[in-house]
Amino acid sequence: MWVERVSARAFGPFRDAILELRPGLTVVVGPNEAGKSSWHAALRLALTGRRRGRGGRTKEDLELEERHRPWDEADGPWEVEARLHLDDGRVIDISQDLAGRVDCRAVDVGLGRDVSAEIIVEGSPDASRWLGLDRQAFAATVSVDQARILAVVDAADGLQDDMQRAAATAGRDSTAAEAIARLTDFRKSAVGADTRVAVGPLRQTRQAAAEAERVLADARARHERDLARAADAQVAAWRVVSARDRLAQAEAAVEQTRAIALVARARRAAELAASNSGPPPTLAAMEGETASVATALEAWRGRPATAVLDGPDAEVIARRLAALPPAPQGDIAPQVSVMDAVSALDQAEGAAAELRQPGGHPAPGASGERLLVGGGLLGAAAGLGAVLLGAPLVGLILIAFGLGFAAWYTIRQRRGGAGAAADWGRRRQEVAARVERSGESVREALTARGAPAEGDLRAAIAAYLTACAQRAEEAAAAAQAEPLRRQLESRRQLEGTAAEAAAAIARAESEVRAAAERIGQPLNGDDPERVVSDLEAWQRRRLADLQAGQQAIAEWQELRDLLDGRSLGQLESEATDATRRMAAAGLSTSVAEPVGADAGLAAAAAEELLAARQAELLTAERAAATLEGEARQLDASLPSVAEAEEAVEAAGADLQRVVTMAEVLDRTLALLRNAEEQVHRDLAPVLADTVRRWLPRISGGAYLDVSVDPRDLQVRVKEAATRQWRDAWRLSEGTREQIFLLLRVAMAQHLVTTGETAPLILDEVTAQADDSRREALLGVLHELSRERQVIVFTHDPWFAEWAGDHLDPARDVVIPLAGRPAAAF
Amino acid sequence: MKLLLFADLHLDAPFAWARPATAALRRQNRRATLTRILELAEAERVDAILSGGDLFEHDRISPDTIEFLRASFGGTDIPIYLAPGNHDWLSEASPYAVTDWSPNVNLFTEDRLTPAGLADGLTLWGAAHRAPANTDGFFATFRPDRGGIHLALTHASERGFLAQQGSGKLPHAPFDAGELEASGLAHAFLGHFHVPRDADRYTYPGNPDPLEFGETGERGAVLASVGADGSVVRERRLVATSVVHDVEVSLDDAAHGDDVRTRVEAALAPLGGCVRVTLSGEMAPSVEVDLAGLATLGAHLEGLVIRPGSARVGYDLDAIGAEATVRGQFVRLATAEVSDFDQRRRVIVTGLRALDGRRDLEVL
Repeated sequence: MWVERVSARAFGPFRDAILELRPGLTVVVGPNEAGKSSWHAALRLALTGRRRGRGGRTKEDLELEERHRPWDEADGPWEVEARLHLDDGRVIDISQDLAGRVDCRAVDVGLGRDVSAEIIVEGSPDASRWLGLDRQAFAATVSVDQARILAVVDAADGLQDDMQRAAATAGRDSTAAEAIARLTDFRKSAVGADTRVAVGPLRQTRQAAAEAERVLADARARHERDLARAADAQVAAWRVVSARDRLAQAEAAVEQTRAIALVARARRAAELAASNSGPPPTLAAMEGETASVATALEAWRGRPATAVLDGPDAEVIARRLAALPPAPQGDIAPQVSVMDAVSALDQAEGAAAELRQPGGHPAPGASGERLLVGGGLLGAAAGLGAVLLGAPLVGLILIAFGLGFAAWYTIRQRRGGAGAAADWGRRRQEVAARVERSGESVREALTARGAPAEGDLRAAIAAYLTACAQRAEEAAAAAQAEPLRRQLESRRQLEGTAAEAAAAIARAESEVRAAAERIGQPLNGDDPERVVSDLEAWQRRRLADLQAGQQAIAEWQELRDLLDGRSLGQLESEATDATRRMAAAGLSTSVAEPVGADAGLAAAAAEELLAARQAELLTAERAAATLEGEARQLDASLPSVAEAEEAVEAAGADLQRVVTMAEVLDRTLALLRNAEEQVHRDLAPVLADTVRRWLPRISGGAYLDVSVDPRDLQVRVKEAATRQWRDAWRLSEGTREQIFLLLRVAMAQHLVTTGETAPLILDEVTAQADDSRREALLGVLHELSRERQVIVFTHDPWFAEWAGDHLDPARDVVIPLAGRPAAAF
Repeated sequence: MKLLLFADLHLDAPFAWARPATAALRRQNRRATLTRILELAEAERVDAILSGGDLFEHDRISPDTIEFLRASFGGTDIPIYLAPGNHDWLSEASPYAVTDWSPNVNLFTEDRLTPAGLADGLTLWGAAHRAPANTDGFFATFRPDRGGIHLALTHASERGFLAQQGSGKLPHAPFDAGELEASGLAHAFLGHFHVPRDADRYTYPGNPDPLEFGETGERGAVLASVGADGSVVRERRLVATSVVHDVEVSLDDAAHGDDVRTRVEAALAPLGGCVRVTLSGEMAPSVEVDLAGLATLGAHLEGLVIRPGSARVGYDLDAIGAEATVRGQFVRLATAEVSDFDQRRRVIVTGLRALDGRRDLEVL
């Protein structure tokens, strides 16, 4: 494709102006304000037109209108036209109505046919479509301005960036890397990670959704419980109704029993009123007399019996007691110590007597033995005496001792036998001593007992025994004193009691007589029993009178109780009303005719039933009230299931939105990375091949080869001298410019997917270059123009000079612009 | 005999699309609709009110709504016949079962047709759903055990009409229209299908207050006059409280966000109630659609939903896909590898926007 002509009906400063171009190199030269930028814009707009769509104008639209609308509306419509040649030989005239964007068309000059449909984009024809580009891509790919050259020259990565940008979007906007970075950043902020510790939107919405689900589950559970509770409450309410019915039945039964009682009460009151015309007299006086008589009779009946005493009276007993002797001093029975000593004496003397008899048994001894036996028997006799005198203990001891001694001694003597004749003399002396000692012992024993022991020992012993017997008799007599004292005391008590009984009997009799006198009962004789008998008869009569009086009083009280402040008529009227009410309710007031299950119950049973059913109702009402209270409490805080579901939906939608966004972003990132890799992989050899073709020439043989990294489109060149690969950004600015232009051409051609040859439009690309750079650059451009149309806009007059020496008039042209544009060339 | 039929009020059903305040208002509107139905019954002096089920939603009904129903029904002396449906199915814990209804309320409690005398020689047969699903049809084997004219009231699905109810409608208690004639029923008053229908022998009144956007047909309450021969003359009455609009706004050739806003604003201006705006058309790639910002345009409405719909960004994907650039390759890869249409659309627009240097990378 090459552009033959651009014409402006009215465009910025132009009016009916035409710019004729050549298929090779066209250099448009002019100072500032000569209209180079306007022609540059007119050329682009004539080829690609403007977007025509409904809606407001974009910022770019406004800027375009601001810069390129006809300066004077009178200049004519804002229109531009172009004639271009396609590689297939067609010649096309394109006219663009930039104001209304309506009268735009592309016409095949040869056929005279409108071919706008082939390239119509957003409402207007766009010739860049024949290149496989669009308006933006055309501007970014085919057109190279000063700023882009400067970016390549000035920035170390400018060349690579430009290549990436062109590879990504045909130079419109971002590089793929920028887009990927932008997406990555956006994903981080709008989605975030999905880990437990993450705080980004994805985690937050997931937690919010989970929380909403939990709230919904809770709401549903509480809703179910509430329905169940409502059912329970309804059952409780029904129980209350049932309890009320049952209570009403019980109340009816009670009412019936009360009515029955009222009827009976009225009937009874009528009976009592008939038999008691007025209040009965009081019984106080009668009761006083009756009580007086009853007291007297009670006293009479409770009088003691008359005492009958026999035996000696107290005076006789006292005299007998006074006549008794005092208790004796000294032994009243022989003491053992005395009797043992006497016995020892008797034995000693017996032994002496045996010795004095022939053969060893002295004669005096026989009499002595008999004396000892006799002494024992005498002791027994003294004991018997003591028993008889009232000292049985002493007596029994003496009897036992005396008889025992006599028996013992007799046996001993019989066993003793004869002593040896040979020892007789020695034994006589020993016996004599023994007798002496025994005698002394007897005396000591008697003395110890206070008995005289001087003189004849045997007499002293006898005197002692006699004194004992005498004192035993005295002691027996003295022992009678204590029983007599007890007898005297008892007798005196009996005589006192008898005296008191006699006094009580007298008082009782006196009271009986007094009672008889008080009631006016005549006293028939002195016999108190007669008086009592009369009083008892009176008492019986009075009791009957009292009972009659009490009955009258009781009946009167009963009547008063029945009436309870009413008149009999009122009571009977109430009974009549009650009977009427019961009859209206289908109930009888006759006990004999009960109606209904409860009607026949006795009053107490009915009341009991009533109380039970009142309690039943109370229980039911409490249960219902409890459930109702719980219900109110629950209802007040019961969450709305619908609202919870809506919250779940909202939270779920939020989560789904973020999840979907995450999926889309992840997928987009993956695809974008993949696309970048594939395009760079395809583009890199194309770029390298293009540059490689020109590199030795433009570098004067300094560099032999070029490589383009498919990962990032980084350009490296191989130095001829060192055979080392170097980054392109390390080359000189001029070389970088030239390589850039080569790359741009390669890129443009690569981006053109239709096979059409894309022109190259350059605007002030050598503004910052020195002469050598400009010459080298123009040399390259001129070479390039052999294959494609190259259009250069420049203010530099040097270009005109250079062109005069180098350009081919058949293919190239220099178009000078001088100051304000001329109307036509 | 003059009857007033309604069904499918769905009290306390959720509105998933709505904000809380809007959803609450819409639920309140349904109550108001029931009040209108009862007022209509009074005004028309009908002999009975028939509810064909789904009066409320068992799983969601609030105590307050139960009390509202009890008080509303108790506010009229007109006999009311209730036939529980699959959403308000009858159980021991159902509000139907545990509420202390006024004496004029008559509840069908059996999962088979049972009779209620409307007048001498005129019997209304009703049935209840006793479970939320798997309820068998009521009419296949039904034969009245008495003479006279027989009507039916229940919640059931006429198989021939099911296809017109849209996806997701399940055939609860299904029956064929022919079963009605075979069973000797003069007419069946039904609920369940929200799309209204006045067939020869049955009537679906449709939901009386809008449940969704885009509902069609004359939905409401049906005044039915039953002749002595069982013939039924029907008259539909609109009783809806909610005002719902479903509008489409084309974004064709919209060049920027202000265009979109202006078009949506213009579409909403004359409307009230709840509005759903569906965007359509093809807008310029440079347009940024701010749904949150558009939602603020409904301040004068009860509710506003804006959905992207079929609105598309006007990329010339064929042209882009023909490019030798990363952009072109990306479009080609996305077109080839992303099978889901919507995800492909989102991926391509996202990628192109990123390559265009834009920050609005969430594609709706």
